[in-house]
This record gives sequence, C-alpha cells and structure tokens, in this order.
Amino acid sequence: LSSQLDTALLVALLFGAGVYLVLSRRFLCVLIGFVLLSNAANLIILSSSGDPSVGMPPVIREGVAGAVDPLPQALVLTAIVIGFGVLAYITLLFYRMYADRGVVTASQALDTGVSDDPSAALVCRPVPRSGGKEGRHA
Amino acid sequence: MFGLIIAIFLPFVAAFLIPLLRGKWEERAGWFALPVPFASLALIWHTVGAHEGYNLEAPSVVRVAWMTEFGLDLSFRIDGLSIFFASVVAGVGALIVLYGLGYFGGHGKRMGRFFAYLCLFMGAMLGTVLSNNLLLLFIFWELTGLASFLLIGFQHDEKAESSRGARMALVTTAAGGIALLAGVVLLRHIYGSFELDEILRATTAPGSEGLLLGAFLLCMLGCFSKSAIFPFHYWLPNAMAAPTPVSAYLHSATMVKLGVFLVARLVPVFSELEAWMPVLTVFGFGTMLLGTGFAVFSHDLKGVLAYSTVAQLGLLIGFYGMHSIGEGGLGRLEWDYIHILNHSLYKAGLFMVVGIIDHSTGTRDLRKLGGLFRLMPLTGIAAFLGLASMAGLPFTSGFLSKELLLKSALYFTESGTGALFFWPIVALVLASVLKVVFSIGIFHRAFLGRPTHAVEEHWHAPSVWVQLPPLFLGLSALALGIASGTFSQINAFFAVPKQHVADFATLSVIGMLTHISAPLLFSIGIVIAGAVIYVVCTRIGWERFGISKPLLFENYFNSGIDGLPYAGKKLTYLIGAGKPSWYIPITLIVLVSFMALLLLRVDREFFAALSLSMDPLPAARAGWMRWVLVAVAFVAVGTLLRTSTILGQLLALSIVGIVVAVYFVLYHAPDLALTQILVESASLLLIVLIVFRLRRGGVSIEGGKGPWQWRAVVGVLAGVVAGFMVILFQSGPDAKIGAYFVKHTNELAWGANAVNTVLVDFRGFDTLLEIVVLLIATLGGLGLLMRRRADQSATGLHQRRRAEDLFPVPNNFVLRSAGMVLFIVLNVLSVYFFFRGHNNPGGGFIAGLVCGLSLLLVGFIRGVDRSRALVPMNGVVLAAIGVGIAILSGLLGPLAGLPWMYQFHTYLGPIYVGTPLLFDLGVFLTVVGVVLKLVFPLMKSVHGLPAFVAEEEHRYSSIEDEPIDISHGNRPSGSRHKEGGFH
Repeated sequence: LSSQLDTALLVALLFGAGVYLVLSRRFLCVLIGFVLLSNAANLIILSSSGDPSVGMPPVIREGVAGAVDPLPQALVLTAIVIGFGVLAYITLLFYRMYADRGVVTASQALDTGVSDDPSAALVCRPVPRSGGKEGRHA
Repeated sequence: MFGLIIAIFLPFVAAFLIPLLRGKWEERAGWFALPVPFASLALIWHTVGAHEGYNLEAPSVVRVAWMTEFGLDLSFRIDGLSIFFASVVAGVGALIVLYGLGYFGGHGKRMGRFFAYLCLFMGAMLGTVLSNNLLLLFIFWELTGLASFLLIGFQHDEKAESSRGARMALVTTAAGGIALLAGVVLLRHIYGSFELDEILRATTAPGSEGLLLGAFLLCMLGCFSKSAIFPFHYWLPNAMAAPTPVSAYLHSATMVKLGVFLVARLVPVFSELEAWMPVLTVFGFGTMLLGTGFAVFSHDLKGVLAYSTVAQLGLLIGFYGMHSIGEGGLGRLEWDYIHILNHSLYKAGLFMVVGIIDHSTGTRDLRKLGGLFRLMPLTGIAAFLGLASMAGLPFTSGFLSKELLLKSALYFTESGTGALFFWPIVALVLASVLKVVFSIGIFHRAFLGRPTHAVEEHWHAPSVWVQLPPLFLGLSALALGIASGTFSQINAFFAVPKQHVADFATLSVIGMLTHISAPLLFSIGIVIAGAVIYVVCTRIGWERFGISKPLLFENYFNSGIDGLPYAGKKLTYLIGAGKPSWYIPITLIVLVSFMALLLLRVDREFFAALSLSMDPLPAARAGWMRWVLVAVAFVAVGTLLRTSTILGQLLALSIVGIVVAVYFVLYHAPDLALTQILVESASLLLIVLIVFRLRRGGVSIEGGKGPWQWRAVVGVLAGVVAGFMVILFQSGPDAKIGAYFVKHTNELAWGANAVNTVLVDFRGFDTLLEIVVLLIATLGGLGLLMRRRADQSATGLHQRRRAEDLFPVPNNFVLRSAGMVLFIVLNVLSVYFFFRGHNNPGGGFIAGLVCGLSLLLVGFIRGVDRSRALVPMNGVVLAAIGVGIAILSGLLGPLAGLPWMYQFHTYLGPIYVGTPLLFDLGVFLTVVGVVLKLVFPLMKSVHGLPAFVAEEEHRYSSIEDEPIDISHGNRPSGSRHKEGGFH
C-alpha cells in the first residue's frame, strides 16, 4: 500500500465542495459544482493505479521499465471528454430554461411565482407577487 | 419438411406484403389475402400426406436449428392434435377472409392493414398449434395476442369501446402469457428441454413433484387467461367490439381455443397430477355455468354469443379435466375433437349471422329486433341451424357433442366418490338447459314475428356473398350431425397415440335416438325444461332481467387500469415530486450513507496496517509538489466558496482545473494532463458564455444562495467518503489488468503509447460506446435547441428588443489576423497530435479538442458565422459521421473473417498506418462535432447578433412577456428565511 494521503485530501476537498455547490439552487453554482465533481471523480479513478512516486508514463520504449497502469488513464481520458459533453448539455439546459421562462434558480423553476426565499430570488420579476408566499406552503 | 415451415411463415410474408398495396388495390386487399389460408392448408396436408414418416399414427418433429444454445429451435410437431387445429385455423381462416370481403364490401378504410393483421394472426396461430418447442410456442402465443390486439382495436378511431376492449384483451392475456412463460421455464428446469417430445420421453426426477405442480398451475394460468376461463372471463365479451369477421375468427373458432389446445397439448405432461382433475373441472365447469347464466341475461346478441363461448370454453377445459390419467379420471381422451369442431362450426356461423344483423339493421339489441326471418331467409336458415346445434337438437353436430358429454359425465360419477365427481353432470345439465333457453330466445326474439319498427327504419338487405359462409357452416353442422359416422371418423383420424383411446366406436345418430339410454333421457328433459323456462321468462318479460353489476369483472379491471396512473401520481407525490431539487440531495445522502456503512465494515486491522504504511512526509520532490498543489487547491476552493463575484469564482475554478492537470502529470499521465487542460479551457469558456448570456438578459447572477448549513454537512460527509475511497480502492502492484496492455502494446497494437492503444485497439469497443455517449449528448443539445414553444403566437416578433451586443466582435485588424494565424497553428498542432498519438501522448480526443477550441477562438475573434463557415457541416452530422467511421473501422475485421473490431496495422515506408487511425479519426470528428454543436449556439446568443436574437426569441423566448428587472438583488443576508427543507 502506498501513500496517497495528499490525493485523498484533494479528492475530499473537491468532492465536498462539488457536492456543496451542486446542492445549491443557483444554476451557475450547480455548473461549477459539476466541474469540481468530475475532477474529483477522475482523480479517484486515476488514484487506483497506485502510488505516483514510482513508475514511468505508459509510453513503452526499449529499455524503459516500470510503466504505470495505462487502463485507469484510458478510462479517465474518455471520462474527461464525456464530462465536458455532459457539462455542455447541462449548460444548454439551463440556457434553455432561462430563455423559456426566465428562471436561473431551481426555486424559480419550480414556481414561477415568487420564491419563498427572498435571498434566492434573483431579481427576475416574472409573475405578479400576490399570494405567492402562501401558495407555496399550502 | 420445408412445406410445413413455409405453411407457417407464408401468412407472415403476406402480412408484410399486403400493407404495401395502395389505392384501389388496397380496397381489394382481401383478394390478395384469400389464397394465403388455402395455400397454408394445402402445404400442411401435403406435408402430412406426401412424405413417408410424417403421418399421424407416429408423431414426428420437423426441426431447424435456430438458437440451439438457448434451447430454442424452430421445431414443429406433426400429430393429430396439431394438424387438427392447424386445419381449423386455416380452414376457418379462408371462410373468414371470404366473409370479410363481403362484410366490408370493398369500401372499408385501411383494408390493407386489416387483412395484413388477419394474416399475421393466422401465421401466429399456425405457429402456436404446430410448435414442438414450448418456448417457440410461447413466442407465437404472444404474437397471437398482439395480432388480436390490433384486430380488436381496428376501429379504435370510430368506437371508444374498441380500444378499451383491445386493451383489456391484451393486458389480460399477456399477463397470463407471462405466467405461461414461467411455467415453460420451470418445465425446462425439470426436464432439461423445451422440446415437447424430449419432455415426454424424460422421466420426472424424484423430488420435483412440487416444481411440476408449480409449472402446471402457471401453465394453467396462461391457458385460463387466453380461453377466458373464470376469473378471466370478462375480457371476451368486451373484445366483441371487434369487427364481426374478427369476432367470428378469433373469439369463437381459434384464438380463444388456444387455452383449450394447450391443455390438450399438456395432457401427457400434467394429467397424472392430483391437482389436474379438481383444478380443471372446478374452474372449467364453473365458468360454463357462469357463462350460460350471463348469456341468458344479456340483451346484446354479440354478448349472448360471447358468454356462450365462454361457457363452451369452460366446458372443454372441464372435459379435459375429467380425463386425467391418474386415479379417478376417465383415462384416455375420447371425442374431444367433436366438441371443438362442433363449437367452431356453429359459433363461427352464428357470429357471422350477428354481423349480418348488425350490418343490416343497425342494432344488436334483442329488445329491438324481430321478424328478421322474413327479411333475410338465408341468414335465418343459417341462424336456425347454428342455434339448433347450440341447443343440441337431434341431427345436428351439437346433439352428438352433448350426448357424448353427458355420457362422459355420467361415467365420471362412477369413477370416484365425493361431491366433485357429481359436479360435472350437475353443471352440464344446468348449463344445457340454459343453452336451450337462450338458443330459443335468439331465434324467437330476433327472427320470428313481425319486423319491428327499429328494424324497418334502418333496413338494408345484406349481399348474398356475406350470407353464404354462415350458411355453409350451418349446413356443415347439419351434415356432420346426420352423417355421424364421418364425424367419428374425423375424430379417429386425428387421434394422438397414447393420448386418445385406441379405437373409437362408430357413432350413429339414429342409434342414439332409438336406443333409450340415460343420456337421451337427460337430453329430452333438458329440452323440455329449457322450453318451459323460456316461456315462463317471456311471460315475466325479458326486459326485467340483466346481469347485476358486481358480477361484471370488467368494471374491476377498468377501475384498476384507470387507477394505475392515479396511484402512480400519488406515489410520485409521496416520494417528493414537484420538488426536483430534492432529488440530488436524497440521492447523495443515500449514496453517502451507503458508502459510510461500507466503510464501517472494513476491518480495523486494515486501517491499522494502512496508517503504519502511510508516510505523510514525502520522500521525493514530486511528493512535496503534490502537497503544495493540495494547499493551492484548498485556497482556490476556499475562494470559490467564499467569493460572491462570478469572475472570482471562475478564476478559482480554473486554478483548480490546472492543479488537477498538474496532478495528472505527477501521476505520469501526460495524455490526461493534455486533455484536462483543453477540456478545462472549453468548460470555462462555456460557463463564461452562459454568464454573459445571463448578463445580456439583465439577470443578476451573484449573491443569494439560500440556506447553506445542511448543504455543508452533506458536502463534508461526501468529501470524507470520497477521500476514503482513494485510500481503499488502490490495488496492489500485481493485480493490474493494465500490465497486459503494457506488455503487449508494441507487438499486438503496434503502438508505444499504451493509453492510446487501449483506447483505439485493446478496448476500442468501450471507446466506441463512449463516443456514442457524446453523440447522444449532442443530440440532446439539438433537442433543447430545436424545441419550439407551444404558444409561439404569444411572442410577437414585432416587439423584438434591440439586440445589445455585450461581447462585440472586435474590429481590430491585428487581433483578427493574429486569431487566424493562431487558428492555423492550432490546427497544425491538432494534426500533429492526431498522428503522434499512437506512439506518444496525443490521439483523437486531444486532437479533436484542439481543433474544436481553435474554432471557438475564431468564433470569439471573427464571429460565429465566420467560424461556422470553416466547417462545412452541422455539428450533429459531423459527430454522427465520426461514430459511423469508428463503427466502419470495426467492420473491416468481419469482412476479412476476423472478429469485430479487429485492427490491422502496417507501415507505409516510415509512416505507420492502420485501422486504429481510422477509428481515431472517428473519435476526432465526434469530439469536434460535439464542441461545435454544444458551444456555438450559446456563443451566438451571447454575441447578440440581431438575426440570432430574433430567431432565439421566436423559437423559445418568453422574455418579452416577462421583462426582466435589471435592479441587482444582492440582498443582505439577514433577510434570509429560516427553512428546514431542501428547497
């Protein structure tokens, strides 16, 4: 077993922050959180190839020994690109929701009326404010 | 032997060809369908007659290997039972097509489809009855259900009950079909084969009696649902919403008999079971009583016939129940074909008669009909013959059938003790009386007397063509009733060895009538009783009778079906629907707690060993670097979470991205580092774009995140679990699959870069699927961009806001020139990465990203349209072509007789070429297409090009209706609401 304490710490940091942001109601925060999450996930997979302090890049030439495991790298490579594809899709989704309904947070998306949390209401002034608050809780 | 297989598949071929007819040919589709049943019938008999070894005395099997490893072969059985049923199917089928031609009169809608469905059904029926393989039988069985669904619902656009009936039939029989499948699989488990002949040869292993009983019950569920036996009897009367040719074919002569057929088929398998006799007789004869009772109280002619069919099916099932080989049974089968054939003859004919009545008078209500005999004597005769047969009057086939049944039931009383042995005869007598009642009822109420007002009002005479088939069937019932010797010969001819009795007595109707016997006395009593009851009920008035609501099971079925969506909605609501923002937290919390539970299960000693082996102080310089990077990441993430300006957040995000890229370098993964930097840039661009877009719309994007405490708790937990995963998931040095790739990458894949060879060669199929995922994401993006608002008209184009270009295309010559130069350099680099990839860090993914980014660059500097002009194609098309090329490169292997995705390599001089390059080209194109399709629309929107803004607003925007307030809402945090939930 090898020491990857630093990687573990980094993953914990990115993953935790990613989850925290993804849970946010603001679509932009969700996007940023998603980027952090995919970074963390890629690092987890890559770390399974073992301690990075020994080994060589998996480009195999004469006289070079001790290449690291190429499989996690191949997996992560496609994962990075797919992560980008998904990010782009989510971005378009948010763009579309904004263009359709003028919403930029989950609360607004749920309720085109007034959000029950004033601080989350991003100043879109979509629908008359009358009765929104009570309606949501009813 | 192929004759038989052609006979089965010919209707299928016809079913595919007939819908191709157009115009006036389509109106005459029936004439094209007409030869099919005749040809099938001829082929079947040709097979039986012409070939030595295929005769009915010794059952034989025609087998063509299909999916042998799954135990599924195209194997068909030639014995009396299968040939008898196949002949009924094809023979009645021919009559039905003929009748259908007259019924629709060549002016019906969608005739091509109708006759195609009919052929499909016929083929499925032939397949079912001829199958030797039980799994094959199940497949055809379900096909009949599907075809009947299409046929019952044929007039779904005209009649609401049509689609309801079709759905009811499909759901009920398909549910039974699932039980049948389970039973068949159990049988294979017991006997090791799906093939019927092998099952019959095999001996039951000791200890498998319980399983056999289970298989029996499951198979019977299938049979009961198909043959509308209680408690599934409700679907058949509702399926009568079908056009009459369909009712006559499916619901009297063929499909509903499938359950009976399968029971007969499985007699040798199950009839030794103790449960055989009680299950079949109780449900069978019980259904018979129920059906006749309902038939008496129905006023709809088709309803009467449907319920009497239910009764007859119950009777047949009960009949097989009496003939168990085990203790207390009647032993081998006798005369079952008479009962089936008799019913097919008179019931199909009667259905046709009802169709004619419906067509000519516009009603099927017995309370409104009357005096039809004068108006259409031919139909009247056909109806009389059919009804006489149903009532069991002498000199009809029905009489023979009833006499023989009474005889069997009387024998049955002597074969054992207990109430169960008297049940058949009691039920039979009661049901026969009721049958007499409603047979008289139909004839008296519909045909005799003077034509009623309702009839005369709507009357138009039926054509002769349509009256001939029922007349033919009625006359056959009469002919077979008189020439009873022929009838018994038919039965003897189709007898299956070891299932039927060895020798059949010759029946003589004269002998039966002149010789006083118990059955004859019963018969006389039945007719008299029926007539008396009819007279009494007529005195009371038929209008007073009706089936009481709680007995109509279809009501329960319908409310069940209608309740399903309601229950689904309730459940969804219960789980937390309407609040999608709950889903991610719930998913995460479940995941995190699950992982945490797993962590708790890890051995304590493992952790002890781990903490010993861990050396927090790194030895090498690279190790120190990593710690420094972690520190940088901490600062960056801290900034990301603390800062309230979007620019600061993006800056912090990019720092994190670079930290990860450097981490990849330190992990000896140069390919990953390259990809990461490129993707990180593209992602940031994307986020910047959406930020700009929101700015253009005037939305504030800063501040206001809502309650954070619970999110922080979930985040910390998730982070801790993820960190532990890193420590726990690393494998030892020996356990690496990758070692194989490292060892063989040069000799097998001709490439030094093991990461690239894994991607394009060793695990090329994975990569193929991954670029398919990319394509799917692109298609999803396309869908998002294409969807139009339903209420487009609401957005008036004339109100269009002036486009404000927040991010104008720079008008700086130097910048533009530099941009183009950079574009060229980047693309050269892209080509370089592409070809270098096989032996050095690089490859299709990286090259594609570089190319895509270069296009984005041009988009920023010279405008999206100029950039788009550089690529002659839509991004989706490009991505699809990429996936296509990747698939093609994999197909070269099979062409040369090698496995799929086998890669070829060679050197052209010093330059390496090979199919992996082709594959990589596919990857390249896909990546470029994805970047183009997913990023450009957003970029265009940000640029605020007037044309696009117009398009955007026309397509999806409702912003005009809801103008956005530009006042910034970075409110003081003190005003936050307290709230507990995950809103």
